[in-house]
Amino acid sequence: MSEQVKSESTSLGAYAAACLRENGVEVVFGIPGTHNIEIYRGLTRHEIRHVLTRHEQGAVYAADGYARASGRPGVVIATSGPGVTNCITGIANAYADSVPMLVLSPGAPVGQERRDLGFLHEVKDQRSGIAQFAAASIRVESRGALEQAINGAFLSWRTGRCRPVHIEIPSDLMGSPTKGVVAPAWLGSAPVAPEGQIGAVLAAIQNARRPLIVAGGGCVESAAELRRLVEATGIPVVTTMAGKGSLSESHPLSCGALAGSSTEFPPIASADLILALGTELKSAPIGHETIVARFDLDPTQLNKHHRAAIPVLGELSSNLRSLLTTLPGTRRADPDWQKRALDSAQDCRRSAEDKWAVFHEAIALGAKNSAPGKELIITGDSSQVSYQGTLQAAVIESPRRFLTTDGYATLGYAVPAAIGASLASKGIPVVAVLGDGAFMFSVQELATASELGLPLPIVIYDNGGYAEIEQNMEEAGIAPFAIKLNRPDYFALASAFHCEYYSAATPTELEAAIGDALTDVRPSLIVVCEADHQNTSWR
Amino acid sequence: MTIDAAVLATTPSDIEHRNGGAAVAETLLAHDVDVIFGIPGTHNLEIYRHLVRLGIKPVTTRHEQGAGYAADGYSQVAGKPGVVITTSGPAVLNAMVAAGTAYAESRPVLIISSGLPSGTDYLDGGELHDTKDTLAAMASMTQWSVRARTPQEVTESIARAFELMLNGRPRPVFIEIPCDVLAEAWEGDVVHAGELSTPKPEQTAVKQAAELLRHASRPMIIAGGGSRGADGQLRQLAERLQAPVMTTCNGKGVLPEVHPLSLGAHIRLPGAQARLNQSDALVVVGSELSDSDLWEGKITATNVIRIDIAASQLHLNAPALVAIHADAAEALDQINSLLGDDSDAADARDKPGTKAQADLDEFRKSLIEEARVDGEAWFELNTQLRKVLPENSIITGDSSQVTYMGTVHFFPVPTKNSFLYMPRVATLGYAVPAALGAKVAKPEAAVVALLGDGAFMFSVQELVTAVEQQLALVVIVVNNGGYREIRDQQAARGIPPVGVDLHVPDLAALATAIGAVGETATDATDAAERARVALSRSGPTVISLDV
Repeated sequence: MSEQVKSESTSLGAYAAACLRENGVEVVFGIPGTHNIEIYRGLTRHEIRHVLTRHEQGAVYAADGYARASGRPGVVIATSGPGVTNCITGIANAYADSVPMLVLSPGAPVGQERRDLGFLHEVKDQRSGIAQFAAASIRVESRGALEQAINGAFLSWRTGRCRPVHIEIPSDLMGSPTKGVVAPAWLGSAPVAPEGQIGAVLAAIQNARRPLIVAGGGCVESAAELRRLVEATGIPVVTTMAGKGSLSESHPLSCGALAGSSTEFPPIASADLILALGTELKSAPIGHETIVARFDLDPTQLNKHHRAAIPVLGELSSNLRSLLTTLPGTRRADPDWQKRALDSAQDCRRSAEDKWAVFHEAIALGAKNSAPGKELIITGDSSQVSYQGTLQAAVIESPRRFLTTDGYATLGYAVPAAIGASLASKGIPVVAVLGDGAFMFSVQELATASELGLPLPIVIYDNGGYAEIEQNMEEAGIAPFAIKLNRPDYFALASAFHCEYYSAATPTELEAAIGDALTDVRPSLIVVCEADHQNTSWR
Repeated sequence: MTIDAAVLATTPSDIEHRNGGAAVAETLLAHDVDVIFGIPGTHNLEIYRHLVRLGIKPVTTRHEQGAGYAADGYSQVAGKPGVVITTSGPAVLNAMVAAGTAYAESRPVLIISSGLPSGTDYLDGGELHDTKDTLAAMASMTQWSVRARTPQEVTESIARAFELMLNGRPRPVFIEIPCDVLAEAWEGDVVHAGELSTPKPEQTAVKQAAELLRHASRPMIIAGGGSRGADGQLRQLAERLQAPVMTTCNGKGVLPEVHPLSLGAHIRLPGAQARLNQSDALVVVGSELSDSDLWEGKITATNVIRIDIAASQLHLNAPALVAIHADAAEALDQINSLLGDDSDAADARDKPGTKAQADLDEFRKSLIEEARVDGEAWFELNTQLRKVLPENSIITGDSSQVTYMGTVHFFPVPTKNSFLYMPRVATLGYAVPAALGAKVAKPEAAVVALLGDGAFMFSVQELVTAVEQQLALVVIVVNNGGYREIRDQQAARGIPPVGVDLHVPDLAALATAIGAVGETATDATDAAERARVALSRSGPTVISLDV
């Protein structure tokens, strides 16, 4: 960008876009409104692509999917009041799952916050509402404050745990003139652990008889180091849902992803050393004698749920590289222990695989046929097909390839996240796989996918409503009600949104539909009915 | 499934399960709640267990946003609080924009959700649905946000919520109940909301107001959302003084808009404000007089009498000469009785059919002309609809031009709560779920949602709910291919159109896919006629009209 462009006068709202551009932002998701249009002026000027969604919920989930697929921050532009309030569930989801995200919106005019005056889009307290779900909600009233807030947010994601940030500009200052050189992005990097701690980890590995690695969402940028660690030590790896694929699941020492059922994975309890890499270790039944070495970027996580015998704070890849330099000559994990861990993993996955392996193989084959050599991205939702199916039955080779809502378990994530992922990863096939209940939460984003002409297969596993809740009700002795949903005619729905439609009664049909859909110029709805899925061809 | 079957199936075991969930359901029942809007989830099942047993009908929406707006619409038409039940985490946050709406527009909406297990809040420990601080976030959107820590606190909190919503300015309340508390055994009794105690008008102020009005030669009345409980008294005052009445959007219909003294809901127009500001005694009942009512205008009249249930509103945006902090109906009753039947003031002015009335009729016409300057595109459709729809129809609107430049001005209504809208918060996706709530509250009423295509997409999934509930809603979508208002604003600022031109699905086909009737109208008259016919169907109809 030329110096001349950088120093021209502009409006404060448009200047926000200049700062985004300096931080490498190429795509934003959002909806324009009366109070935020000055930001849009800047988007055009700085050639930032704007993706228009049909609800701000869709914009935040799309930005989230974009961030998870690419590792780059997702950016959302919303308007004040209801616009940014509509973002809140997505902000909370990004907070729970540690996703780098910036939500930029107008705020109350200067001096009018919390005064209940009745101006357009006024809510009681916009900023403290959002602050409860974001790492920070920052109000900026000047050029200096704006560039500091934006640069600070992007720096925080390069140096620490990623969590969403909200920045608001008072609506009456959006159009105020500002002039000067665009502030460059801030430099900085994450801290690394002292050598002594690395040495302690090495000693623990050497003394361990039953070591296990648990790789969480904090591990997705460290796949290469993890693989070298595993190959140097022979320690088996289990991942959480967020860490799925950090070690290729076709690797001989991969125990797969077992989040949600980690309590039932016996090696966690019987291991004498656990290397926890970027994970909260929630509800893992770790034995009292077990030595836990925890690697985390966030000091508040180092002892959460389980005290770390060896805390290793800092950037994971660097810390693993330090560890790797000390490793040559280390004895390898006991083959009996390896086998025990892998067999246990197999047992834990069995019922999920019985039900879902063929289904996911068909999706993978369909993708392979139409995009050979490219590894698929699957997005998921709080649907059984995701947290039981894709999680345990899909074989994922690398991180950032299964994008779903994890601890927060929101509904309506998969479709907008797939839109974001598609824009983040050109040429990589993206498939959304979700249940019918979740689908309706963000059905309007079909219009967005359609408008963008995305070759996006959306696989809906139709079990007629909120199946999980129905099971919960039955288990609690409540006759199920309010969970059987009246469903749309998917064929007609697809054509109304100018999408293609497939009904897949067999794995072969699913494979073919995925293949066709990925080479189309528009999205496709592919419906698999639970009744058909009972058929033996899926087993 | 039928409710009867569920009652038979659940009754015996549910009585054994008298727990925190029962405290919710029994307390709601004791406060006359017979419908709730929401979505069941893993953590709130103990509430759902007891709903059916007690005859409380759950309406399951497709997104908690829809549940919140439906409860909002329901509260206006049913004349009692709307109740939302959600599960924890994302579900609560999905309802948050509806809470913000109910706060901004003063609607009594109670949101009850399950929460994380007791003692796990704020640990950031990664529990399912763990959020940073739901309670604090909801405190920023509601008048009261509280966690009930025992089943007894559950019933107490709900009773207190009803006191807050029914006394004073109605605004939303949020109650979070940890999921273990919902399952905890309960042996206590239901707590009932205390007696209502609204502030009584202060006598000196009432006398001052009556005195001012008695001697006024140009009295006028602004009726806001807070005047809806005082429509009879307001009409009496207006007729007694022969004072023209202008309403805000939330007050629309408080005086029948065909009444000779009604000046409609045109208060955003500069011409309307100029007239109001010439008044020598301006009575403002239950209104913020806010910028979202006045669109950058201002009330500058000097002799302003303000009546408000919220003390904080008495001088807000326009200082009052006489401020009466009271229930509007009581204050107006007292003013009316002080004015008596035949004061000098009334005799001094002209009666209907005279020159003053002719002037007023002329002025009313000029307001319509003024509204047509920027609302011409929406005139015909609203006018045609008004011709064919039953007089007491309920019409809902959205943050769409067809609403705020159209229905507000060109669709006169005969009573309060006939036009459901949210001018201050100006959210998108309100009209369809609000219509759903209205229809649930009053199944016999004709309910029509009239909105733009941009707004429609925000809550399109709730059409499925309307199909499921077999509600004969009529949804008229005017399709201008996107966010027209914002496009206009971009153009005015020399910004090329960005993010405003929408790819719109085939709306009629979409409706059909969802199980509604989908139709495409050729023009305004055709759309109105189709709407009339659609009212007698057994389920919802979507009528798309390209403009």
